[in-house]
Amino acid sequence: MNTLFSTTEKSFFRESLIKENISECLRSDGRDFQQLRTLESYPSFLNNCNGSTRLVSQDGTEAIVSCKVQLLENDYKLSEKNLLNKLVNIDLSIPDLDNGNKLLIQIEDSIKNNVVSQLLGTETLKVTAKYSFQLFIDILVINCNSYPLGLISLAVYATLNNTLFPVLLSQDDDLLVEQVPQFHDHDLKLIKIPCPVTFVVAIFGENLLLVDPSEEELQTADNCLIINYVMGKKVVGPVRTIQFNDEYTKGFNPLVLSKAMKLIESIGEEVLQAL
Amino acid sequence: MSRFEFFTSEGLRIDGRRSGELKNFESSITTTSNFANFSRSTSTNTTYLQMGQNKVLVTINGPKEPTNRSKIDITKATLTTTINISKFSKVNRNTNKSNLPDKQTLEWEYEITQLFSKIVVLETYPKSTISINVTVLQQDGGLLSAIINCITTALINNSVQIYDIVTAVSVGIVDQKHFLLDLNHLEEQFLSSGTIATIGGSDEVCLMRIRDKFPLDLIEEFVQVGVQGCSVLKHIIINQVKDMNLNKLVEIQ
Repeated sequence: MNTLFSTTEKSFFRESLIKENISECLRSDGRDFQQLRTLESYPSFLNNCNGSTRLVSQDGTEAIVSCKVQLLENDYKLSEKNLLNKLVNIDLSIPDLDNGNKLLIQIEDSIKNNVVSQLLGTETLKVTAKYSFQLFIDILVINCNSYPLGLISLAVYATLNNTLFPVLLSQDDDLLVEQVPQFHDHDLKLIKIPCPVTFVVAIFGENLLLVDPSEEELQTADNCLIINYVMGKKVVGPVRTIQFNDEYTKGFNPLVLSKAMKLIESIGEEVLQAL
Repeated sequence: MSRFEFFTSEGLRIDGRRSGELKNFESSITTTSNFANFSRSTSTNTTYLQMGQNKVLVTINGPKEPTNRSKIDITKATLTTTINISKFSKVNRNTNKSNLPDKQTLEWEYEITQLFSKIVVLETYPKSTISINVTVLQQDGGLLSAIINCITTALINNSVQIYDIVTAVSVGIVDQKHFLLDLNHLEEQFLSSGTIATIGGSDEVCLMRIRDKFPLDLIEEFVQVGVQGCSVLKHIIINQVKDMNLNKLVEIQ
């Protein structure tokens, strides 16, 4: 992150992407326009967590996500959304950045909103009438070379899909009986928590959209979009813009938005199946 | 007498090892070959070490130009170490809110920096910095020794010049007479133990760290057992580094 490029370098990156004919445009790392960086994935590699994933991106960035599950007594004063906010805990740390950094807070928030929005109205985390599962999702990013949200959300998606929960042995209706839920000693079951995956799309001019931009593309893009995709339901909100440079940033044609959504809809399925 | 029998009369420990047996030692290297990436400001070699249930990741940045001019040393390189023990590394999650390291970690950082500034040939890299970043993903007794072994392997993998290989091992004492090598976390909790590091598998001890109460009359034997363990570990590390780099070579070709 924060790699400084000279003006010449930037204009070289920019010129290779702004061409009248789209077929002449070239990405600096030779990828296709809608191709993500190559990923290496190591699922469930920590055995004292309920679920974990290590994703290594082509540019050396590593995202390590672990998910731990605890039991929490429900607080009836809270509304459903506030309760879910209490049940889902996200903790992101990037060794070079300190705790209150805005980037960390923004990424944490966006991941948390994604998870909570899919859990609203469902009873996935509910154990009994009185107790729920509390999720602690810890994210660690090493060697961070560019904006890591895309990689992190893929890692979180993979983790929540391999998280194992303890199996309940006692009754699930304990409103009238004073009883702490009892779990099987070693048996675990898989509960898939739906989670949207976030794609970062860089906009260059009227026609060109780049999926999963690298640092040099972020520094020279007109604007960037953050789009969430859920398996089956296609693109979900919120869609927002984000900027990484002052030099080239400008407004974009609203028609690009629908184009970007179509693009994500066409590639999303394939990306999620690969994980 | 604690409620565990750490060393049975048949000579077996809790996890079924013999007294002088080391834990499973496995290290691997992740290289991301990306020649076209212009933004690559750091080396992207990550060394991953698994020593029993300890899982440690080390990345080494450098030798490179320091960001701060005041850090430049004209005659030799400066070495910095940061250790990041992740919150999920223990069975129960650490609820400490801040990301600041605790006192023990700061002490280890200092000790490791002192140790490796004598091991790395700093004079070959004047006016530059080498920073060692350690990430602990999972811990089980003998964490300090795992960190030191992983840093050594990472330095070799990153082709930083070193005088010799440093290996470290933890040793514990049962019933004032049996010495256990390479402890797991149960043993570390209940026994008096220490960590020993030697240079190049010889008898030169370069780091010794003893926790809590320790019978001083046993220290000679304690060091002997540690030194033996270190020399065994040195051969394991050499073999693994050779294998790793052969694999890397095959991948490149």
